[in-house]
Amino acid sequence: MDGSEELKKSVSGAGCAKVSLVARGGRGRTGGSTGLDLWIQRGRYQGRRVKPLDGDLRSRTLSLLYPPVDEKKNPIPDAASAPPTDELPDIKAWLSSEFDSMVTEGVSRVLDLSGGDRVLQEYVRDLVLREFCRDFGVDLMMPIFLGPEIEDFRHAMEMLRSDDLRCERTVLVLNEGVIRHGQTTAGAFDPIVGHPDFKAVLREGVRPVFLRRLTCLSALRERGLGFYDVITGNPDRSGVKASPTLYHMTRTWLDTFEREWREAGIAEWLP
Amino acid sequence: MIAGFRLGSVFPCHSRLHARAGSVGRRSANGDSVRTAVRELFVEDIREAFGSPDQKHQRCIAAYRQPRRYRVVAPTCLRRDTDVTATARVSEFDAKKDTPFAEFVDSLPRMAESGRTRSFRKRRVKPYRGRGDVYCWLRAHHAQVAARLATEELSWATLAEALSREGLRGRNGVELTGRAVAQVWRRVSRDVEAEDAARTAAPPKRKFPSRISPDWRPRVVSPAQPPAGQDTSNAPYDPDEQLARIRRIIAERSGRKA
Repeated sequence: MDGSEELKKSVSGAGCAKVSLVARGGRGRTGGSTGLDLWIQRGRYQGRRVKPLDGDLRSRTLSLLYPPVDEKKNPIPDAASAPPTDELPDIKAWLSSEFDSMVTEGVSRVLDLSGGDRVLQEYVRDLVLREFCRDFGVDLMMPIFLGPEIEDFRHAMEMLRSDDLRCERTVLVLNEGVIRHGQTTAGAFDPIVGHPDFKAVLREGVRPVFLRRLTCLSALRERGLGFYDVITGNPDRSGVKASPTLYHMTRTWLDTFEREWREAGIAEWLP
Repeated sequence: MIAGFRLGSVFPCHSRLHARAGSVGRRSANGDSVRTAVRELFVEDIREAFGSPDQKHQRCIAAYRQPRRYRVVAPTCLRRDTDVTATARVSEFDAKKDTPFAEFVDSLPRMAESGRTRSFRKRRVKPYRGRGDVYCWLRAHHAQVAARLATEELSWATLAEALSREGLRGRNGVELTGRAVAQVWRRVSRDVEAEDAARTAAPPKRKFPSRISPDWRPRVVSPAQPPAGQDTSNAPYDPDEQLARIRRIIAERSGRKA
C-alpha cells in the first residue's frame, strides 16, 4: 500500500460514516438556495454535520441563513463559508481549502455556486472532482433546480451535455416554489416535462424530483425559524413558537418532500 | 383673574370655559377642571378675545363699558392656583374692583393694532421640501387656522398680520399680504386633504391577538423513517416510471386528474 492509499483511508474514516458533497448547478433565481437550506437543516436534524459553502456573493442567501456568530457574538459552529472575492483564483483557492477540510474533518459540504457554473466547470476539470470524491469516499450529488422558465431548462441541458459537470447522482429539481402567481403548476412544468431532452436525460440516469411550494416560507424566514424548529416546537428569536397553522403547513410539506425523494429512490443521496 | 358675568346671562366666553373644561352638555364645570380652563381661557386668551373680530365678543366688551350693568367676580378658586402670573393678575384686579374693565380694555390693543403676542398656539414647524416658510407654518398650524377660518374669526389680512408677527416673510422677503397667504393656504389644504385621503385609503394595520396557549407545543416527531416496503432506493431505476410519477404530481398539483 503506497502513501496515497494510506492518506485516503485515514481521512475517509476521520469523521462520520457518510460524507456528502452537494454542488448545486443551474441558473440563479430557481430556488436552489432554499432547497439547499432544506437539505442542510434535514441533515443536521438527523444528527449529521453539514457545512454550507456560499459561493453566491450576489445574494449571499446561505451566508445570511448560517451566520458565523449569533446576536450575542457567540460563534456558531458549521457556519456558512464564502470566498473573499468573486475573482476566479480566489474562488478556486477557497474551494480547495474547503474540500480539504471536508475530507480531513469528514464533514459534509453543500455548495451554492448560483450562476457560477463556469467556475465549477473549470474547477471540476482542474481537480477531476468525481474521481476526487470517489477516492476519498465522498458522495457527490449535483442538483439542478428548474423554475418555470424554459431558459432554465435549456441551460440545464447544456450543463448536462458537458461531461465535466455530470455525475452519477444528478438530480433535476422541478421547483414549484418559484412559479409565478397566476401560473398553474402544469402551465409551468408541462413544457419541460414534455420536452424530448427531458426524457433523454432521464434515460441517461438523471433523476427528477418535484419540490412543492411552502406557502409560509417567508413567514418562517422573517421569524428566523427553521423547518425542523417548527415541527419540534423550538421558539423563534423572540421566544415565540410557531402557530398550529405554521406547524401543520411545514409538517405536511416536509412529509411530502420525504415521500417524493423516497419514491424517486434517492433519499439516501441527501447529505 | 377676571371673570365677568353679565346679569341675567353669561359672558359669551363662558361657553368656551365649559368647552375647555370638558363639561359641555354633560356636567357642570367646577373644581380643578374649571380652574385650569379659566386660567387657560381667560388669563392667556383674554387679550385675544378683546382683539377678536367676533361680533359677540365686541358687543360684550362694549356692554362692559356701560356703568353698573356688571359686577366683577374674582373667583376665589384662582387664589389657590400656583400660577404666579395668574395670581398676580388676580391681585391687581382685586385692587381695582370698582373700575375693572375700563382701564383693562383701554390698555389692550385694538383689532387693527399689532401688539398682540401670539394668535396661535405654537406648534413645531416641520420643513417640507420645495416649500417656503409660510407653507410650513400654515401646515403645522393647519387645524387651528382652519377652525378659525371656518368660524369666520379670521380674515386673510389678519392671518397675514399674524404670520408677519411670527417673523415670516414672502418670497424675496416681501411683506405678506392676505391674498398671498390665501394662495398658500389653498396649497396647504390640498396637500393636507391628500395626506388624509392616503392615510384613510391605506389598509389598517391589525395585530391579531394570539390565541395560542403559551404551553402549546407540537408533538415531537422522530426523524423521518421510510415506511416499510416503500423504500425504492434499491429498486431498479425506471425512467418511464419516474416520468409518469412527475407527471402525476404535476397533474395533482394543478387540480387535474392524472
